[in-house]
Amino acid sequence: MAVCVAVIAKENYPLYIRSVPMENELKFHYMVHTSLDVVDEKISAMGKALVDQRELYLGLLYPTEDYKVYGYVTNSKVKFVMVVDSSNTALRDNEIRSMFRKLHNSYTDVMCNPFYNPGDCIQSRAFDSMVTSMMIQVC
Amino acid sequence: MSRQANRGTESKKMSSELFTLTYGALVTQLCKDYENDEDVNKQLDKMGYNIGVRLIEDFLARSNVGRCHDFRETADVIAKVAFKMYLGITPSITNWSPAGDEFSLILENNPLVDFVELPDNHSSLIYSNLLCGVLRGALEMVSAALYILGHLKCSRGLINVLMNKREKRKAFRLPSASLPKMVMLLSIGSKLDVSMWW
Repeated sequence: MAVCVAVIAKENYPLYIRSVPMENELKFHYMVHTSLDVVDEKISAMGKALVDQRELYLGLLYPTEDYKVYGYVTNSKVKFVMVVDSSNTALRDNEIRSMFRKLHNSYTDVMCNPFYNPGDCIQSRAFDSMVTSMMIQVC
Repeated sequence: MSRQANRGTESKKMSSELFTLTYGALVTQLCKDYENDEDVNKQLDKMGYNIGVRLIEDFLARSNVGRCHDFRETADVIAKVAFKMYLGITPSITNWSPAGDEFSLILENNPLVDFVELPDNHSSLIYSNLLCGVLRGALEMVSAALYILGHLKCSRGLINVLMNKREKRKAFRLPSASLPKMVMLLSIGSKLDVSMWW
């Protein structure tokens, strides 16, 4: 369902980015990069309210012709960005939300791995296969 | 280790994440301090041994298990009493040798390896080796006849512990209590395979 999944560090450099192989990778990198501005905007705009409600899901960041970009930011300011094919109209907001939650849980496990140094690129096999399952699902 | 029993019957709970992360920090620090995995394994075993020789006293005092009459009983006490008491898990005992002098303990969910993914450059690291050391130390205190070599492997959540008991077979009765103590440490890995020869 997702065509691209990215994890962005607090300082806005990519920790992990993966897209479906058949498409132009650079295009997705560009989309994710662009979306960071929207993420920042959303955080600063509703920063206080978000913190109060503990709402991490940012919702649709922006739509393009072929794709929709969704965002999620953790309390530690790590961002998850997901690009979804917009032809897939069956995807509800709730499902996106639960996908982000899965991503977040998986990211937490990666962080808890004693062999992972915070700030490094994510090379975990478990995380990789979780992302793969999200990309294959319904694709 | 979801539970750490205090003196007597009262038992205290502690966060298993804290326990797991503490052990993870210990192992990774050892990996930084020592050049190769073999040395790390040795250190873990040494630390476990020191834990084991003390822990056995605690185990015997609290568990009320008597002397074991054969090796199977010993295995039972280790798995069902000791591991349960210290790690809150019950490993399964399998792979008995025909002679009844060797077995494996399989830890289905080793709390020590909850989040661990071994990187490729640490393929020979025995992540939960501490548990082997604990078992070795504890057993040594209850039976002079036991010498255990432990191997714990943690790869993709699997931990195998292999124990060789070599050397002297003198007085055989193994007080069962000593074995269970080692179990407490084992909770680190998801799978523990312990084999013992004597």
